[in-house]
Amino acid sequence: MELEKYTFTTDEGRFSYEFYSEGPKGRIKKAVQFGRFKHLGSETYNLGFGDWNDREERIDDQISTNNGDRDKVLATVGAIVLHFMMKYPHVNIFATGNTKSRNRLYRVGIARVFEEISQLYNIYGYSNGEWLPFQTNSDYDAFLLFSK
Amino acid sequence: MATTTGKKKGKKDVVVVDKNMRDYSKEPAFIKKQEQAWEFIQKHGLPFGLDKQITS
Repeated sequence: MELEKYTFTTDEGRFSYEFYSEGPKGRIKKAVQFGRFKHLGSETYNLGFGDWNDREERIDDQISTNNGDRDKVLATVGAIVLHFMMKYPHVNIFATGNTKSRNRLYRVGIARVFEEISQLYNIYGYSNGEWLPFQTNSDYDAFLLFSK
Repeated sequence: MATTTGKKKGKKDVVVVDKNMRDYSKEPAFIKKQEQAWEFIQKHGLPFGLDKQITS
């Protein structure tokens, strides 16, 4: 079943993406940034995600907007990750939430597209001191995606 | 100005390319997140040798 997603914009070269969440709280710009870990020999990127604060003109990655479209936002971030990995086939994506609840959200997002992405990518989660193959009903402190 | 390119899903494009899109790479929140992520990797490592560092 194809998940509903927002249209997203990319800058083609700076590893940034943005899209708009639309719901009861209005139109909220969200941004995704892939940052390379320069000290690593592997091409591993960190996934950064947050809301654009128009008033303060900065990214806020601590906020929970609750615009009634959680699943659509998660599906959009998932589509962005896939777009990035297809553009750069040999990269690895690392992600970790600021809080346990944010990590659970990432886990839910990955679980929803697991069948689709696990055919092309390995998905691992960090739990209790070790990296393990991702399971949809387990909690993790961090996530790693890399091509098969 | 945004240029619509890339794959289409039904009647609506999913991906839009905009060379003038804001550059988020220097956003303090993302930089801080990157640093925290690096600390995690230094502490816990990555599987399959992906955490091997470049030696100069």
